[in-house]
Amino acid sequence: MGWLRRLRSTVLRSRQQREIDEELRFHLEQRTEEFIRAGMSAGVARQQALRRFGSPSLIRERTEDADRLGWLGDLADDTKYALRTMRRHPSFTLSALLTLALGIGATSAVFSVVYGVLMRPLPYPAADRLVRVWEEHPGGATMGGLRWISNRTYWAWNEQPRTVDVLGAYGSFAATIRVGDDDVSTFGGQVSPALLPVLGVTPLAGRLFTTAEAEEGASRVVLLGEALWVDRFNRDAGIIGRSVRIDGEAFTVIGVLPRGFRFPSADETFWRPYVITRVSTDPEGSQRTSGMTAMARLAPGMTAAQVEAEGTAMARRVPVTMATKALFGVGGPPVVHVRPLGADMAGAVRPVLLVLAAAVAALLLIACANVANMFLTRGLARQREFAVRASIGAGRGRLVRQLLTETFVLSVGGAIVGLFLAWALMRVTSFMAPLHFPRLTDVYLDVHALAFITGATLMTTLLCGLLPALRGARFNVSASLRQGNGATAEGFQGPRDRRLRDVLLVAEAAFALMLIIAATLLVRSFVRLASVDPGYQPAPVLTAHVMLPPGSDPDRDGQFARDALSRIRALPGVASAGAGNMMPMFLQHAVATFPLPDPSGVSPEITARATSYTITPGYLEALGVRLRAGRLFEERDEGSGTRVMLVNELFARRYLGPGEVVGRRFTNLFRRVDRGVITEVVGVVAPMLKNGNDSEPEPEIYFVAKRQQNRLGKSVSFVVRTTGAPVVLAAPVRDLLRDLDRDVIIDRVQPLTNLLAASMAQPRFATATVTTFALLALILAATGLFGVLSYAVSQRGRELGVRTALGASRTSLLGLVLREGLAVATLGIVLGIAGAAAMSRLMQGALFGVTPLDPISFAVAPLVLCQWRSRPACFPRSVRRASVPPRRSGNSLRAAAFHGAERRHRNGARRGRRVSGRRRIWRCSRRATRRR
Amino acid sequence: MLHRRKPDALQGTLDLLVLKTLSLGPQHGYGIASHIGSVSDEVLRVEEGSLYPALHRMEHAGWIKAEWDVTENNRRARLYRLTKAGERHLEEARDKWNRLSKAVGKVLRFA
Repeated sequence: MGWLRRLRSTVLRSRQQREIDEELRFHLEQRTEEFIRAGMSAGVARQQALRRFGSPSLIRERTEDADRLGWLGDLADDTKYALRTMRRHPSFTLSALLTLALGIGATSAVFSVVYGVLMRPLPYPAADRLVRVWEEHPGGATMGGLRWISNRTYWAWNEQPRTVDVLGAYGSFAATIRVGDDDVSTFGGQVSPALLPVLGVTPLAGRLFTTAEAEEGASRVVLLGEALWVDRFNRDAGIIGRSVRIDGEAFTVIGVLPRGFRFPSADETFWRPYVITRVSTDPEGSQRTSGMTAMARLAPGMTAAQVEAEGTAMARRVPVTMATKALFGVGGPPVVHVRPLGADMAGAVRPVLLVLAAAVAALLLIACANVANMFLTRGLARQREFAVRASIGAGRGRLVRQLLTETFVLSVGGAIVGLFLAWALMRVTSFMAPLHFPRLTDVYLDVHALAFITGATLMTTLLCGLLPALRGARFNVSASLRQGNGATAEGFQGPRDRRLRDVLLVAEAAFALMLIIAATLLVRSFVRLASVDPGYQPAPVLTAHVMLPPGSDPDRDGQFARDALSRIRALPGVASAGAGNMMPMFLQHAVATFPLPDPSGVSPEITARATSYTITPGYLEALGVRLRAGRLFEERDEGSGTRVMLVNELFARRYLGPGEVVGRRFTNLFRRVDRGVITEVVGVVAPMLKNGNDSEPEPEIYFVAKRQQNRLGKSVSFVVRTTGAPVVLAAPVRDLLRDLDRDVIIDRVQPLTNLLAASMAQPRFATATVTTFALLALILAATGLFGVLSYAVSQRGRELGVRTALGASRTSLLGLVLREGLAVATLGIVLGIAGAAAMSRLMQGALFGVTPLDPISFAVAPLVLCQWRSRPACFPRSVRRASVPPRRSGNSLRAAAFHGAERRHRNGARRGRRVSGRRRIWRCSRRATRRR
Repeated sequence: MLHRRKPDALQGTLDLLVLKTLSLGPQHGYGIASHIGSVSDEVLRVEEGSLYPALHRMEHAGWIKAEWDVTENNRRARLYRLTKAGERHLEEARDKWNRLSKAVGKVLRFA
């Protein structure tokens, strides 16, 4: 209880003081009365009583101290004092506060993103036991680098799984939902029914999928997300059992899932069961083998290694067919890999986020160094104050504590502003972040972020405050108390202090340089990415993706495409147009595998694998794909008996060997379906980077769409090369297609450049962010250097004045100051380069086409740094200073200054600069007075 | 300026005298000082500068309890009284003092 009362006394100071006062007053009165009774007069009695008592204020203070919790009282005192000091120097406080707010705010925002995306557990129960599962055939590669498991492996494993208690497939796809008369473009999820309970979701209404509904041929059912139900279906109470058209097909709604459920990302608005094709008994059943994205939950007590072992065993039990080779490439016996689901989802952005984290940490350190320098230089002005306090008994520890408290108060202020800044930054991030950025919804300010901010505040306090505090509390008391600033100036500007200040500046320069190097690398990498030749010409091309209604006659479908094309070509502003089953940036893959004679002659046959396009004439012209040999498709090819084929150079080189490729003929290329069909290669084209600028070119083959064979299918992509801006034709094309067939579903109509830009959104985001950090760091470092050096120069005014009096020219003074500034910058550059080289491994994953030790970036960055920092910092200030006549502190100063100025004035008069000289005198004397 | 708890013999003696005084009944600070002075025939004069800090310190240590009350002269004064813990501490302090004085006596008597 005593503790509690002491706390109360600490906090309620005035009340405590009043009580003690009263107690002591009582004592004095009693003593006075005693003396009066003993015969003294009132006045003398009082005097004697006081003498006997002692100094009331001193006793009161001692009593107060006994009452209070010592350290807490000191802390309260220090805080009040710190606040007062801050108010007295508003510009210092403001700049320090903003600097720290910037550092802490940016760091907290990045931390929240990093934590949310990389570290926070997935929002599903027992998320640490959920893993991604995929199969690899070592030596072979999947198309587009996708990680799949084959359905054969799945069915083999799912019979008797021991290491996992649930194994299922999931996926995401772009789809259109018909709402009223409109087709709404959105994303849907596919998920195995067994996975929904694992993901811990209970429906708001209705029920979840049953396993029977995931079988082929089962009635089509769908689960709607709450957002979709509210926004598009107006919270229809009778939604369960209603029919909904998705991509032209009718689905029955069986349930509504709550808004908080997000799987596999935040973009899906509805879910349907993942139908995993059963394996047919036909051993060469190519059309029955499919790949799928799979996840599993570890059975209790099982480890990932055990799951991998079981999976590998299952995968090897399955025979390798042509279709398997199409999926996984030609390689060795399959191996199953397992990875925690959370890490897997964030995998692609991990390197970028780590770079971002390092960048913002550097920014924070620069901010701290800046503020530390500010405190160091300000300590000079407070030497006398500390000397006074030391002379009346403050110990060194006490002074250090007080200085640290000031830094702490400033850090807390910076942290509060930084918190708002972090919140604002995160809103901007979620607004500007690229589409499909993984786990963005898991990024928010929560207790982890607050804990981080607290830690960052404490750390900045120590970083900014400890050195200046230790330095400030150590000084020569007598020297500081002496009159005049000359002594104190010397005392503080000693070599030790200058070294400390220089160390901080060098550190700032080094970190700023590292940031600039990182930004330069990212910019170059992004430029490389954007300037990759994708094999086609994206501008000006308009694309339109269309889904033909299901169940319609295939012949009618083919006619639709032809009619649409002829109408599109008739539109004004169209240079060429074509249609195909796929287009660039299209996420679907169509892969064909077939045997070919081995061109190298090593084995009789090799398995050729290529992305297979079915297109109409005009498609390649519209896309601007370059022809290397032979010709492109023509109208007459559509009706011919031979199957005409175009190949790309990669395919020709890999599978068709040396020699003339155009004119090659194959009989029964697709063994299973061809009956005497002859396939002829009529041309060779350049490879197209269908999967984005950062993908590898792959072998590609093109077939012309015909009435009987090689139909376009239900999903048709139109590509139109326009003479003007593509957006102009968007509405006409859309209307045209709608007119042609009311039931057709028109998905996205947009310029191809939009798709290309969207595919580069993530690198663009990362580059923009790091560049912003680098710029901020540069500004911070530059202002830091400027402030410190200009202050130092002003401190050396006396020295500079003496030098001028001894005949030094302005240029040599300039040189003197510049040299010191450059020394700092150079050392900073050297350290920065070393640091950047050391961090090169970190940058590796975030770069494209540029090595982390790219020499050009390393060369450019220091130049940028030098350009910005040294010159502005040293130049103007030193010029001004050097032009001020010599002055010294002390009473004779004014006289000396006047004389000096007089001399210059006289010189100036000779050259006709009378007025300016006189003005300078005035400024000089005023300054001399103010200095005291 | 800062008070560190430096337990020294002199401080302990003051504590002992105060506790003993209070064991005779509740008293305010002035009364304690007067009592000690008068009983010891003015040989022991309490340093009043240390009295009140000591009283507050002992209060927080839990040996004495304080409350505001009105004296016979209708004046408000802060009265201190001994607690149970204080009584125990008094016994210990008294024993320690006796041991100390006996030891000093032995050394002095040694011829």
